[in-house]
Order: sequence, then C-alpha cells, then structure tokens
Amino acid sequence: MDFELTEEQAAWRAEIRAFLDRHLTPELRAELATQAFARSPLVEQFQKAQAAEGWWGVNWPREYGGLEKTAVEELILTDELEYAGAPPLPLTVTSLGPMIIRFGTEANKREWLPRITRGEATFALGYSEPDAGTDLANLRTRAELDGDEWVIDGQKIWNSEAHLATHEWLAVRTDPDAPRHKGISVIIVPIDSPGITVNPLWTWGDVRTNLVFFEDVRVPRGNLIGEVNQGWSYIVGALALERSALGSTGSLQRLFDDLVELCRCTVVDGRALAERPEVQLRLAELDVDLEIAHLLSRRTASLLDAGAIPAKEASMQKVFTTELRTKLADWGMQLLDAHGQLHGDDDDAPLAGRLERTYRMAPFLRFGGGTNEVMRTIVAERGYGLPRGA
Amino acid sequence: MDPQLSEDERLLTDSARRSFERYCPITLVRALREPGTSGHSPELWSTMAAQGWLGLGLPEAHGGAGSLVDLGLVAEEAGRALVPTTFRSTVQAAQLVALLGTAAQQGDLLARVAAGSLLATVAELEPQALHDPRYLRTVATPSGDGWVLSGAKAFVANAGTADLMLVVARVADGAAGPVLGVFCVPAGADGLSVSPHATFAHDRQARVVLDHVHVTAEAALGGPLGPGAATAAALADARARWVALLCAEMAGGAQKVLELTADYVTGRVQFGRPIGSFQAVQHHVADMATRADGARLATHQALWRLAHGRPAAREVAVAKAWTGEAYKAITVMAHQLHGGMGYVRENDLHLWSEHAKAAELSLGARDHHLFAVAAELGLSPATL
Repeated sequence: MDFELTEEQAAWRAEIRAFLDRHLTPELRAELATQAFARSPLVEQFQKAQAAEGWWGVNWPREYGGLEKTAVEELILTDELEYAGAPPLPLTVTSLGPMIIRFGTEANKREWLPRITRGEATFALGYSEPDAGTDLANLRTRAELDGDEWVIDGQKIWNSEAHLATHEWLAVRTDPDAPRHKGISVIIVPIDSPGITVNPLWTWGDVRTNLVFFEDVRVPRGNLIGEVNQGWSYIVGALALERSALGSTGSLQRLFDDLVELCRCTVVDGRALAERPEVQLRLAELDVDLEIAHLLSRRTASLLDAGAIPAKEASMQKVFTTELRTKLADWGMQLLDAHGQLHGDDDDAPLAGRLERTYRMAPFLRFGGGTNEVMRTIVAERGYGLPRGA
Repeated sequence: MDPQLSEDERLLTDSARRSFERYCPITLVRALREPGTSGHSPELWSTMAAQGWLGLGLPEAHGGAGSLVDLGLVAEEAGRALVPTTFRSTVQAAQLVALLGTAAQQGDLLARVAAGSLLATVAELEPQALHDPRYLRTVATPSGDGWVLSGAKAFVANAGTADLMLVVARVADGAAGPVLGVFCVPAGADGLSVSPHATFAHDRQARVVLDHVHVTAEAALGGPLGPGAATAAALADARARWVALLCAEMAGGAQKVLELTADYVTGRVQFGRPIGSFQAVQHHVADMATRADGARLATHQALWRLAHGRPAAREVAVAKAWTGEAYKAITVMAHQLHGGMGYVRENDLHLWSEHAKAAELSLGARDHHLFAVAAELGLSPATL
C-alpha cells in the first residue's frame, strides 16, 4: 500500500509539467477555451509535440514504438493534461492501439502502429447505428469480400471524430448468418474513401458528432484487424479501456479548484460566497466526492498494472465520475445564483462559462461508452455474482 | 381538504393546454429563441388576452377575473409549452402593481395588461445585490416634481421588448435598511440603456443602466407616499407570488418532460424489447414521476394559500426548494434515458433542460429557500 507517488512517478509528472509549460502556449489556451475538440494548426502543432515525446504510444510495448509506461503513469499523464486544459490523448492511442497490439496480425501492427505513434493516423469510433446503441451487437453495417477488397454498406451514428480523424475504426457485420456476437469484424477505413458521406449532428453540449453513410466503400482486404468475425472481443476490450478514460478526474479537479477560488472572490449581498456556511458545505461535499473519484481511478490503474481486468472497478469509476461531473456543474451554477445563468458567450460569465458548458456536456459522458445503467449491472453481476437479469 | 383540481380548474387547464398546443407549438418556441427576434409573439399574446388569461389573479375592478390559483394553472401549462418569458415578466410586474399601485395606477396599468396591450417587467436585481435590498445601489433622488433614477440592474427579463419597466430603487437610508421605491420607467426613456445578457436558456435577460432617468411624481408606484414600509411589504408579497407562479411553470415543464421520456422508452427498442421494459429504466421513470407529482402538489398548495390570504412563507419556500430540484433532476434523467437521440439539438428535450436550470437559478436557488424553511421552523434566521 502506498498513497504517494514514487520518485519515478513524481519525476514523470515533473516531466509532463515541464512539457506543458513549453507547449501549452497562451495562444493555444485561448483557442481551447472557446472551442474544445476543434482541429486547428495550433492544436496539431501541440499534438505533434506530444507524439514526438512518445506519448502517442505511452502505454504500448517498446517493440511497437511505445514508452511502455504503466497504467498509473498513463493516468498521471491523462490527469495532468486534463488539469492543464490541454488536448487529451486520442482514444486511438489509449484504447484502439492496445487492441491492435493484443489482437492484430503482424501486418496490422506493422501498418498501423508506427503511423499512430507518429501522429499520422487517428481513428473515429464507428460503432453505434440508429438501431444499435446500447445494444451494439444489433449493428447492421455490412462488409463483404469482393476479390481482395472489402465492400462496405451501412450507416453509423454518434461518430464523433469522423470530421477530425484520418480513418474509421469500423465495426461491421461480416457473417449475417452467425449468432449476433459472432459475425462482427473490425475494419479500418480511410475517411476520404469514395462512398463515405459525413453529415454533422450538433449536440446540446456544442460538440459536433456525425451521421456517416457508407455506400459501396472499398478498402483493401488487409485493412481487417485481427481475424474475421472475431471483432466483438476487440470492441468490448477497447470499450473497457475507454471507460477508464471517461472516468478521468483531471478536468473535474481543475473546475473545482477554480470554483473554490471564484467563491472566495465573488461578493454578493455584502459577503463573499466562500464565507457562507451553505457554500462551504457544498464545496466540502464536492471535495469529498472528488477524493473518492481520484481513489477509484488510481485503483483501476493499479489493478491494470497488476495484470487484472478490472471490469467491476472501471465500471464503478465510470458511473461515479460521470455523475459527479453533472453534480459539480449543477452545484457550481447554484452557488453562483442568478450569475450561474450566464452563458459562456457572455463577457461576465463566471469561469468563462465552463460550469454551464460542463453541465451541457455531462449527459453525453453518462450515456456514452456504455450507459451507466449497464455499468451498474456490471458492478452487481461481475463484482458480486448477482444472477444475470433476463 | 382536496388537493385535486376542481371541475372548473380542470376545464381551465385543458383549455390552456389545447390553446398553447395550437398557438405556441415548439416551432414557435424555437423561432423566438433565435438571435435577432424579439422573443415575443403578438399573435400568441392576443390569443392569451382574448382568453382572459392576462387578467387572471388581478382585481376585477381593473379588468381582472379569476384567482391566483387560476393564473398558476395557466402558468403551469405555459411551462409545459415553454411559452416565452414575456408572460412571466408581465405577470410579475402586474402582481406588484396590484399590491402596491394606487387605484389610478392599477386602473391604468392593469387594465392594459389584461387587455394584452402592455408588456412589462421588473428591474430589481443588481450584480452584487440578489436577495438583500441593503446592497441595492440604484437610487431615486427627488427632482422638481419627479424623481431621477441612477444605477445598474442585471437579469432584467425582456428589457428590450417591455413597454414598461418597474425599477426598484433606494430613496433614503433607514435604520433597518434602505427605504425602497418602485418606479415606472417607460421603454425608451432618456438615459435608459439595455444590453442583453447571453443566458443559459436564451431567455432575453439584460443589463439595464439608468443614467439620470427622469420620471414624474406619478411614476412612483403607490403615489408620492409610496416609498417606505409599504413598498418593502408589497415587494415581499409580490415575490412570494412570483416564486409560486415560477414553480407552476416548472411543474408544468417537469410533467411534460416526464411524458416525453415515458413515450421514448416505450418506443425505443434495444435487445429486442422496449427499453421501458427494463427495471432500471422503470425505476428511473417512477422516481421522475414522484418528483413531478410532488412539484405539482407543493406548488398548488402554495398558490392556494396565497390566493386565500393564508400565511404561505413556508409553503412557498418548500415549493421552490422541491420543484427547482425536481424539474432539473427530471431533465437530467430524461437525457440519460434518451441517450444520444435526446442530445442532438434537433431534439426538443434540451429546451426544457435549459428552462429548468434557468428557473432553478431564478428567485433564489435551493439553498436560499432551504434557509427560509429553516427560519419558518424557528431556527435562527439566516443572515444572507
């Protein structure tokens, strides 16, 4: 048992902070404050620098160009990036690359891993369809072999990175006659392939996602990842890794710290907010919750490092942290009373609107990446052996 | 004792629901949120006036008819339909006039409100004075046979469209705090400037700067002797009504979101069955329903007590503390149960989510009203 960073881990954190001091420039900060998740020359420059550090392979084995960092070290990196408000590591690095390493053919590894570590390839997650959301195994997008090419037809929804990524990490049905989970494969599809139409869907959280159509899209046979009809386990494995990422706490801690400071210096009705007993109790409760969230995320990471598959723990962390995100934004807005109504577009908005924006973005994290209802079922069934429901 | 609606009340509710469905469809709600529009629909307004809804809860002598409960029932349907806030702000101003205005002021202003020819609002809050009038800085100074108003107000609803703004200002310092007055300031008065806030619900609130705005002696609500203790009491009584009516809006919105969600989970099929057949989903819907029912009951009780002149401080505070949280929590769970389908802007759900949060943060958030409940328990009054 050890609740402090080791010397090595502390050095790693110092290295990350030094990098952020150099590369997270005021210009980039200003841009990120107004348009999260956008791609721009400044963001690309920052990501190139990240990749040059080896971070776009941070948790991968050295033989594939990775830094072979532990899950705890990866968590330190994720938390530091989030706390600083820097562009995060892409899911391609944290969730999909590891699946290629675990399940991919030698040819897959040679083709994709170096391009990912160099920052040249990022994948959009092509999973959900209008009738296959939580019930992902209901997906119907088809891929059929025609000579040496896969021919793909279908549509994907909530395809959030399709307008930013270079490729689709596409879940397709390759055997329509097999049982639902047994006829699914993963194929990598260049996003600029003929026959792909990307239509934007704008969300309440101001984040763009997409509805993407595939019509007679042809890709080389070798773009199949791993084995045909074995894709379900790759998808489930990547989702499990994604869950830990959704349960990260760096941005929450930053928002909380800034909220506390704001309460210290905001005077309403003759008193600083921070002097009010109800404000103190609300902030204290949020601090307790945040501490639990940190502990849950560190436990998940340390279990991964010990070689375990922390399905229960990662699910618990995902539920708790995503619901805490709503609570923090909700309570923060309440503490600010009428001022909590100000939208980020208003010059007087507290914390430049980060509370209200977080409130609008929070729903997506609760139902995305496996709904919290499904996550709770995992905790009960896998954690405590409860009988499976119908 | 009967918390249910009477037959007449049910008829009013049904008629308001049908009218709003017809004259305030969600397409209109969306259109009026767009930048560059006034946020107000004259057609909807004249329909409401023709139905007599703008005179509800106002004295019969001045064109009014119907009780505060009736007004609350229409406000509930307005919340369900997301009727633009010109209704709320005009009703708030009218209630204040009814409590504080002279007979002549009531005769003039309330008759016009009831007829649908006057849009109004109240300018009370300031950036650093949200609940305690001791910190209000806007002042009214006697000048000739009138007053001069100077100061800066915030969160003034519909300041850009209202024909009349009721400005709360300090006229003198008293031992127990400032002596307040309420002044009628017409739209476009010299020295009045309005700059819009960008708000969470896109609901037309603004900063208002008063730079030596001259008004006549008759502009002081309550007449020359208006400013004083009567003003503070009238403001407190008016605020109780504003809160109860806002709760009615929230209760109506909460019920609508509950119904939308029940419909969605009944129709959405995953794993070969409607997701509404999963217990986890059913339990969420049941909790939402309890929150919504509690909101309506607490709101109806508060409205009824106010309408019958009974003490209502506790019931009003209970209603706001419960209903603000209930409506918001219902929208949060509605997003959870709608998933991505309810999260795109094309879907209407977020319109209620924004209404819920804005209403929760208006007229005192939850903690403010919990302290009021504590004070009613005889616990040491909060020094807010």
